[in-house]
Amino acid sequence: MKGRFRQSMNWLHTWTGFIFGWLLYFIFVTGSTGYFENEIDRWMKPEMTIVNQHIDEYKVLASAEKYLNTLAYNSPEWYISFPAAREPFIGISWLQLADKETNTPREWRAKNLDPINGSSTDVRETGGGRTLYRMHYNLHYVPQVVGYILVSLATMLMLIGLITGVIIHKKIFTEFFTFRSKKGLRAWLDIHNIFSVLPLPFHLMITYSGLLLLMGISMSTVIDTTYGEGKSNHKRFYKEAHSDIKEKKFINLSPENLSLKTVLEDAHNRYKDQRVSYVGLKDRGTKNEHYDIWFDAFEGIESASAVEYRIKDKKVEIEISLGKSGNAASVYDFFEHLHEGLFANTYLRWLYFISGLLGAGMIATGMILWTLKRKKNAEKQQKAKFIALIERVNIGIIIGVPIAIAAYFWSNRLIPVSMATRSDWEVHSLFITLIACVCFCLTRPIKEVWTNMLWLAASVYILLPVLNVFTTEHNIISSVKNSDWLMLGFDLSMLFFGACFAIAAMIIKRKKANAIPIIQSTSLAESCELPPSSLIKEKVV
Amino acid sequence: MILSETVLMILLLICLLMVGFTLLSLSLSRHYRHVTNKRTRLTRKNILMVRFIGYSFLIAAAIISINIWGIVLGLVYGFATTTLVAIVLSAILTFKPRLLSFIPLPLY
Repeated sequence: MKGRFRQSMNWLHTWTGFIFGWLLYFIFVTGSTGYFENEIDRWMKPEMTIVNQHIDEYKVLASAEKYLNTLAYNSPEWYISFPAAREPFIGISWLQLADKETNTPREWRAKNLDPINGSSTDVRETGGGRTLYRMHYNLHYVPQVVGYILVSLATMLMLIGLITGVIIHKKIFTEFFTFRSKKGLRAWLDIHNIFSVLPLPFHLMITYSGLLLLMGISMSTVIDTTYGEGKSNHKRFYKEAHSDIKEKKFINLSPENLSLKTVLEDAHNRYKDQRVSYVGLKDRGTKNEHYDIWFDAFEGIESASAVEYRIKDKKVEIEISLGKSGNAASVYDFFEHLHEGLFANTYLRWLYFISGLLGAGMIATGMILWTLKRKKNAEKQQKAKFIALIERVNIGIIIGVPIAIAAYFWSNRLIPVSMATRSDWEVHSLFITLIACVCFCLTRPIKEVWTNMLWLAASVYILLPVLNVFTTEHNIISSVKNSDWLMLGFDLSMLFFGACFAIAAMIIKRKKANAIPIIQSTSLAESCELPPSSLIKEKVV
Repeated sequence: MILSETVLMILLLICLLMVGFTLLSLSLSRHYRHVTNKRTRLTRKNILMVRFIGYSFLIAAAIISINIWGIVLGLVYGFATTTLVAIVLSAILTFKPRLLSFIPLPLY
């Protein structure tokens, strides 16, 4: 019975992993880039002026207000952002209303301000880090609902894959650190186990919370039964379910004096040890006009809190949000913050990122194992052909996704800044590159595919900082001089990733030179045999 | 000052987990053989001893990190650091096991 249970779990593990394997790999890699959203944003917006000196926030506010008054006089929403640790910029943004006469669409606009002379800079239009990480749940080209449903399904199967994986892994403790690197198929199984078991808490957390985050879509019929179908009914559900507990009180400020400046002053006095990251003015010119303040505090697992200022009964009232009112919403919030890791400092952020990549590695090695196990036993010509095809697409996706992301960065520098649809084309170049990579893998001789792809990946990553030198005024030395740590970190990371790909290519080349038929000649049964050393009679100390 | 304190605490956590997991890995005969290069293995009593000390280090690490960062962040730090330490350790055990041979075993 026990054997049969394990066997059926094994079957389930194999096929749940296989169905969405490529999609899950894409999700894990692009999702991992989300932990460095701000760093990627900084690199993709080289025109931004960084602030690395002390600034007078009130002076900044005054010049920002001056700009907004001329550029966005009829806009209902204004935002002014102050430098934060991972966003050392001063920015203004506003909602531009649609105007048929001048043919302007309704859209968000933003400008970057110089901290010293107060001049404004236009920043190139780019998808930035946000578009890149959002792909991991909206899949970009498909309608939003379809993307969410597909990703939900893939996540569900991923969770099943994780749980069945734990069940079928017989020696989770005795083989915790084991990697028998010279044993063909066994080595692949070992590395698959290492990638899965060591970051298992992360894998379980990220998969479970990912599933939870999309529950509005995957469980939408539950909302239908209680609140009714349709967008407006669902909105009513979200409003009720995610309502905040709010503390309201009147403060000692006369309504005539309520302005951006006084709001900022009051916030500074009220929260002395907090840094303000955003000041917003919403519903401008209406009865409901109010001011918002956000703080740059991700110290705890809770997200940054906000304070709202508005005029009520001829007095100024503030509203402080104190978290979610419902228990379910609190749990949802908790998992959302754990998933996004916005609270993480540099150390945790890198570990989040590495764990995400280990997850991608787990999926990649799983896909490779799938083909290796079947390759040997494929008697029929047709089946062998099919497996060879899967093997090639595997390589195309595993190395192709990182190359495609590099293409996204390349296109940011190469597409003309004046091009209207440049942010769309950044994404197009990502997917075109991915398809090209898969096609390349389908045509090359199988023995050279891995090394070719790895060298290609190494070169596109190593050349990114070089491209940065030629297309902008930024380079590694100038970044050190200006203490532009985000730009420097990005360039160095790209060199590091390129080096990793190059080392991988060299290792594969050397292995091939030493022993060509390792993988082909070792079947699973042989490789699972006990290592000969364990047969030697051991002396007990 | 806060930053450097955090860095010190992270380093402490890494050290505790490193020692704990190294001892646990040495209680497994495969890794013990690779590290010591001897065709011997530990007695049952020694294995239990090594495991006991190893787990004590892990528990100490957990208690310390929960004390510093609170239950939620403490666990996040603990698990994240465990992943890091375990990956480094399995790389050492695979490619350079003799690096760990300075550890005096058997202990008792």
